[in-house]
Amino acid sequence: MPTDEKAKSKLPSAVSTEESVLRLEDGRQIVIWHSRPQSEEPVRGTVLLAPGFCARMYSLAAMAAYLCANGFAVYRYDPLDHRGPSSGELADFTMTTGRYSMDQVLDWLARERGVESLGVIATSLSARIAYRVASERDNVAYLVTAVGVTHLRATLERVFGVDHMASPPEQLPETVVFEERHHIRTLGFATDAHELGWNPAETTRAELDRASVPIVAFIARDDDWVLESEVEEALDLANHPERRMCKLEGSGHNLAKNPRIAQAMLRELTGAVMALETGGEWLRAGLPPSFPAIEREPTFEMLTAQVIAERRRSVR
Amino acid sequence: MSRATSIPQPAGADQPPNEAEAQSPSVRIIDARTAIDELIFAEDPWYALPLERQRELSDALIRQALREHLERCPSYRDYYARSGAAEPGAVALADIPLVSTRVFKFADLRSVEAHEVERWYRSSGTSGQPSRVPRDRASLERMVGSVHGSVGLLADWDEDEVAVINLGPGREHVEDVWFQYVMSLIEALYRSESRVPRDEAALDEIIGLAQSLLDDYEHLIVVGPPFHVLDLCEHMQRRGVELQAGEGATILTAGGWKRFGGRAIPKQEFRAVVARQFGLRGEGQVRDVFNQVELNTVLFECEAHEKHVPPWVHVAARDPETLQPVPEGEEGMLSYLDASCSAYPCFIVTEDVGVVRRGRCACGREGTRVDVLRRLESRAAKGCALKMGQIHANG
Ligand SMILES: [Zn+2]
Repeated sequence: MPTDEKAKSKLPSAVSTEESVLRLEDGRQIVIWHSRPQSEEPVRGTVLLAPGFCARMYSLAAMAAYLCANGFAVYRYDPLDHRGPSSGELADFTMTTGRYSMDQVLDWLARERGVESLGVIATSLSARIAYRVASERDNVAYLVTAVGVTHLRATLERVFGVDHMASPPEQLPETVVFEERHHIRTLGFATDAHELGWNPAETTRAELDRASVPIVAFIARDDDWVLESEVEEALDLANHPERRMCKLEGSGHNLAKNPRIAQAMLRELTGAVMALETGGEWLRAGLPPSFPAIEREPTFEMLTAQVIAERRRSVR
Repeated sequence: MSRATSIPQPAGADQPPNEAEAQSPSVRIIDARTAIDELIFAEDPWYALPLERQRELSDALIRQALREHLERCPSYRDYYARSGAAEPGAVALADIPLVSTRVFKFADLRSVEAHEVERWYRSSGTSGQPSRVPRDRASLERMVGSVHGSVGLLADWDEDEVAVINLGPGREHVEDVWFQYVMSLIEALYRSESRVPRDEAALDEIIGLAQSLLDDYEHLIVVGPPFHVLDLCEHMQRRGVELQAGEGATILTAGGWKRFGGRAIPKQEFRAVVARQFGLRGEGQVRDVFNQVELNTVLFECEAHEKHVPPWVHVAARDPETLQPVPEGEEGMLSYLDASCSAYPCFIVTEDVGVVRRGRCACGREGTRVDVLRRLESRAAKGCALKMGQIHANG
């Protein structure tokens, strides 16, 4: 017969999210979201989430919800020249713009929010940027990447089916189309990628050879854009006990496509962040054999409520 | 994407993440694959699979679901044992013991622990005892997946290009009525506005909203029960409004034609009225979807106005007395075996009369289609419901 559990079904509240606007000296602005746990307990730590190329901040709603539910303060931002509410158009994006945006947000967090040290979680193309940032800045305490690009040129060739980076500038098409809908101007992107060393796998490897922060890299075993072998090569696991690869069976580059796989990934990622946040020198000697189990898991209803609230915020 | 077309492996295919098999301390393998999720959330749509492949998948996935519910749901296990059906590996899909949808009016049937139930949802009937059905996270995600995976039967839209008017309450106002809840979830997929057309002022507002969204978006979807859509069209007629949507709108009816009562009009006539009032390019832009609280999968109409049934659902039309499937194309009581539901054994016989067809549809796609015609109101149905109700007696 109907039991008490039926009576208590009601809408659970979503994570609370606030928006801030970082105004740059040149007049442009970067929009930042800050999501906090609902509980009154002190936060366990602070993380910054960087969205993948072309992805909006609300695509990271579930990740933010898992981290908040387990005690983390979560910041997200939309880079300049990207698809979301920050200044500029996606068509003009370059890797260096992405790098500049991440640096600006990290500086803002230190300046305005007193966050001296934090974890960075970066997806896809933004992971390539985060690898460089983590090798050059000392306020990144640890790095977690998801389907993170390490060999930019190879990934772009797989995405577009053509190695545009091999073309002399005058032979580049004016734009290329990403995911059938988004036109991206090539000249600025290619020039930047060549001049600032974003393209080859070797520069990623060299940057990571200099980086000393613990790294957990999630890869998808059916990813057509980022190969497992490239990430292995960049991370050099044999010489870095403070790094780990987590390989997701049955997933392509879009980790959110299959919710069973997404759920398993978010549990593992949150556990990884909980372990990494405890920090300290001991992590350098090697990550624990397994990450702790998460303490709280958001329900379907919480995740849906958050996605819808963030979607509303985005289109208002 | 090849995963969707690989044969599901029943043994261990639905295990929790296997986190044991790491190659070295620096590598962890996370294997959360399940055959049902690989099909529902595949890159390539299920309706592009050949009929034979759909049959194989159907058989394997439903058997896997049967094993799981027998293991996890004591009431269903007892009922199955009493029914004398062959063991799960040998039973024909048509002989899997069915639960009458009536059972959900009084029985607490679930295959998950109480704490795993996200919510109990109820039917929207205005009279009598409502059905109450539990759903866990996986079942809800798969229901959303069934919508997402079938939207391609309508068109290939980018989420940014589409706006939705939901002729029903928004998320803040839906409680546990399944139909309203499902409708309100559209907002997780597309920019949505929800309005209940309860009076003239509300209808005027909806017309204005439709006009402005048609201007601002490439595509407008208006979704609601047929009687609300008809109300809206009649109101537009009274106001002398004819929209010029062209190819830019789809009108989606959902929630059945039952409450039409005396106003029921043939579906073709309905589509003609709607197409005229919205200024649609064709009646193919007026579609219907089907679901009921006891069924976890949402069924969409193709451009030929046939409801395609995905391979994780087995549908049959049955003789109301014997419960044996009737020959293809003949009317019978509709039953569904829905492998997407983990929260309760979704092996149900309904009180709807309909027709099932298999093979190639007029739209060109292969697969199974179902036409839900009307409610069954005979004594035979009631007798059948009583017989099915026995699941509860010893449950
Ligand atoms: Zn069809």
